[in-house]
Amino acid sequence: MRIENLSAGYGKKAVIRDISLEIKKGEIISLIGPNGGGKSTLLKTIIAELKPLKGAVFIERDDVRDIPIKELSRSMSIVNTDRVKPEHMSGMDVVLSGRLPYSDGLGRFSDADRQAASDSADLMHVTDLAEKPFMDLSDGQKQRILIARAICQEPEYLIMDEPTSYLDIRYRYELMDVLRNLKEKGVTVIMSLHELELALMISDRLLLVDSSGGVSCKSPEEVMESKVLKTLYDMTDDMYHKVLGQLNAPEDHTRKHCSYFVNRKCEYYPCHDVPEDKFSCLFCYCPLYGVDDCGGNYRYSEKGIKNCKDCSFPHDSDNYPQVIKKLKENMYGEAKHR
Amino acid sequence: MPKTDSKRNTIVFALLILILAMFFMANLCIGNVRIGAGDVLGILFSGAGDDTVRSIILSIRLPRTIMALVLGGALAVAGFLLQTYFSNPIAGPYILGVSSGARMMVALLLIFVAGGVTVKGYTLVFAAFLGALAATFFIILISKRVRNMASLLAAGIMIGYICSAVTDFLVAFADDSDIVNLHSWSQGSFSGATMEGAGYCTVIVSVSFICVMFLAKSLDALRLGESYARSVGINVKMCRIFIILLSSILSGCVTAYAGPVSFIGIAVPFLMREVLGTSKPVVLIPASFIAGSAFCLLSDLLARMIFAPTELNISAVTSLFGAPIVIFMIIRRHRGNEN
Repeated sequence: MRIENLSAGYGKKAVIRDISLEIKKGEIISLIGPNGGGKSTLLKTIIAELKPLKGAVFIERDDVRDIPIKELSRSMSIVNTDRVKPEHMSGMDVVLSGRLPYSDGLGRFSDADRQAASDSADLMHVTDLAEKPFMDLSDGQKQRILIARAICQEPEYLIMDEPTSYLDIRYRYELMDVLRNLKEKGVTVIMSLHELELALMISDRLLLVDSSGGVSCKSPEEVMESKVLKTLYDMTDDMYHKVLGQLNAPEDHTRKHCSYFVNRKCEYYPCHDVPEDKFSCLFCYCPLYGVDDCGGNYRYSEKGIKNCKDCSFPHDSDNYPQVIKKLKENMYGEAKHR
Repeated sequence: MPKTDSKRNTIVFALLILILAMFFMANLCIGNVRIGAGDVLGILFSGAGDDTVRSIILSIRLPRTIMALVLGGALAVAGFLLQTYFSNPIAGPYILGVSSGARMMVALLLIFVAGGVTVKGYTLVFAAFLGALAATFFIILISKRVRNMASLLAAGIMIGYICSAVTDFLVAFADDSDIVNLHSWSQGSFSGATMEGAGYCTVIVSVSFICVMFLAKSLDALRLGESYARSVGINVKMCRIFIILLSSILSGCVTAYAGPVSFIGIAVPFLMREVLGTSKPVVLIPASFIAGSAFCLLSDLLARMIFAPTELNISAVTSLFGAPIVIFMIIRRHRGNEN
C-alpha cells in the first residue's frame, strides 16, 4: 500500500496534511497522537470511506477509490469506533457478517464461511458468546466480536480504529499476539492506539499524528530516543517524565534501563551481551525479573541480584511470545490459561 | 447452531404457509352465503358448480382474497424495508405518512386529471407511487436532522396529517360522483376488488418482491451500520435508493388498490423477528410477506364478518390488533434501554 501526498478531512478543512508513506506487506503500523488529531480521519480515508482532499491511497497500482467496492471488501476489513446496535443478532451472527463478501447473492453462508467464522471466534476467545444476543454483551465482549468479524473477512489489510478500547489488559495483550500471528501470515495491520506501550511494543513503525494535522513516521526506537512524544501530546516536563517512567524508557539514553529491548543506545544493547560484572537484569528490565520460575536458568549475584547471563530462555524480542505467555501464566495461573 | 436455526425456520415457515392456506380458504368460504370448502375447491380447479356460487367465488371473493393476500404481504415487506432504512423498528408506511402521501396523489389524480372517469391499473399505481416517494423524501429530509426515534415518528405522523388535510380539501371541492368513488376507497378496504386489479397487483408486487430478495444481502450488511456494510462490499448509496424505490412501489400499490392500511407494516416484521429469533433479511423478508398476507386475510375476513352485512374498513381491524403489538414493542424497547 502506498499513501501519496495525502491530505484528508471533512468539507474543505484539511485535518491531515501531506502525508506520503510506503507500507510493506505484513507491516504493523500504529497511529498515535492526541484526541482530535485526525487519526480516525486518516483511517477513514485509507479505507476509502472519505474522499481525500488531495493525493490518494494506492493498493498496488490502483487508487482505493477506483477499486470496485466488492473487490476491496476481500482485501480490506475494518474495526471502527461506531457503536453498532443490531437487533436479534447473536455474537456468531455478527462474526459471520464478516463473511458477507464471500457469501452467495442472497447473503447465505457456506460451511467454509461458518468454519472461518468459528476459527476467528476461537482466536478472539468469543466462542462462548456465540449464542448470546450481541446487544446483551459487555462493551469489551462486543469489541472482541467485532475484531473477530474483521479477521474472518480474511483481509490483506486490517484497518482498526482503537481496537483496544474496552479491552482489559489480558485481552489487550492477547490481541497483540493475534496481530503478530496475522503479521506472520502477511496481513498488514494499520491501527490507531491510545496505549503507547502497546504501540511501541508491537509496531514496526509509528505514525505520529499531531493536533495541527502534521504526520511523521518513525520507528519505535526513534520515538523513544527523541522527545517527540512530549511535543506530540503537548505534555509538561513533569507529565513526560511520568510517561517515560511507565514506558521504562530513559530520558538519558546512556543509562542502563532500556525499553523493551529496543534502546540501541543502552550500553548493554543487545541485552545479555556484556561482561558479567556489568550485567544485571535489575537495570536491564527483564519482564520476568520478578518471576522465580521464569523458565530460564539464572543465578543470584553476590549482591543478591538476579543474574540472567547465559540464560537458556533469554527474554529478548525473539522470545517475546513465550515471555508474554509466561507473564500471563504468572498473572492468571497456569490452569486458567490454555 | 445452524442446524437448530434451520429447524426452527422450517417449522415456522411450514406453520405460516399452513395458516395462510387456511385463511385463504376461509376467506373464500365464509361470507353472506356460506360455501363449503369442497365446493370452493371444485370451482377453483375443475370449474364445476352452480353458476351463482361460481360468480360469487370467482368475481367477488377470489379477487378480493388475492388482493388481500398480495397487498398484505407487500405492506409487511415495505415496512421491513423502511425499518432497515431508518434503523428504527417502528418505521412503517402508514405511520411515516407514506400511505397518506400516496392517498393524496391518488385523490389529486381522481379529481383533477380523471374528472369522474374511472382510472384503473398502472396510472393509479404510478400516482400512488409518486405520492409515496414524495412523502418518503420528506421523511428522509427530516430524519437527517433528527436522529431520535420518537421525533421521527412525530414527523411522520405530521406529514400524514398534512397529506390527509390536503386530501380532505380536495374532497370538499370534488364532484359528488368523485366523492362516492373516493370515500369508500380512502378509508381502506378491499371491497370492490376486481380480477384485473388483483392481476396488476400480483405482477407489481411479485416483481418488487424479487427485487427485494436481491437486496437481502445488502440489507443484511446494513444491520451493522453503514461503515461496516461498506467494508463488506455493499454499495450503500445504491442500496438506499433501491430501498426507497421499492418500499414506495409496494406501499403505493397497496394504497392505490386498497387505500391506506395501518400497522401491518410495523407489527408483522416485529412479530416475525420475535418468532424466528433472527433479523436475517433472507429469512425475514419471505416470512414477513407470508405473515403479512395471513394477517391481512384474517383482518379482511373480520372486517367483513364482525358486523355483517355492514363492512368495517380494514384499518379498523388491523389497528385493533396492530396497535397493541406496537405499544408492547415500544414498552419493551424502553425497558431494554434503561438497563
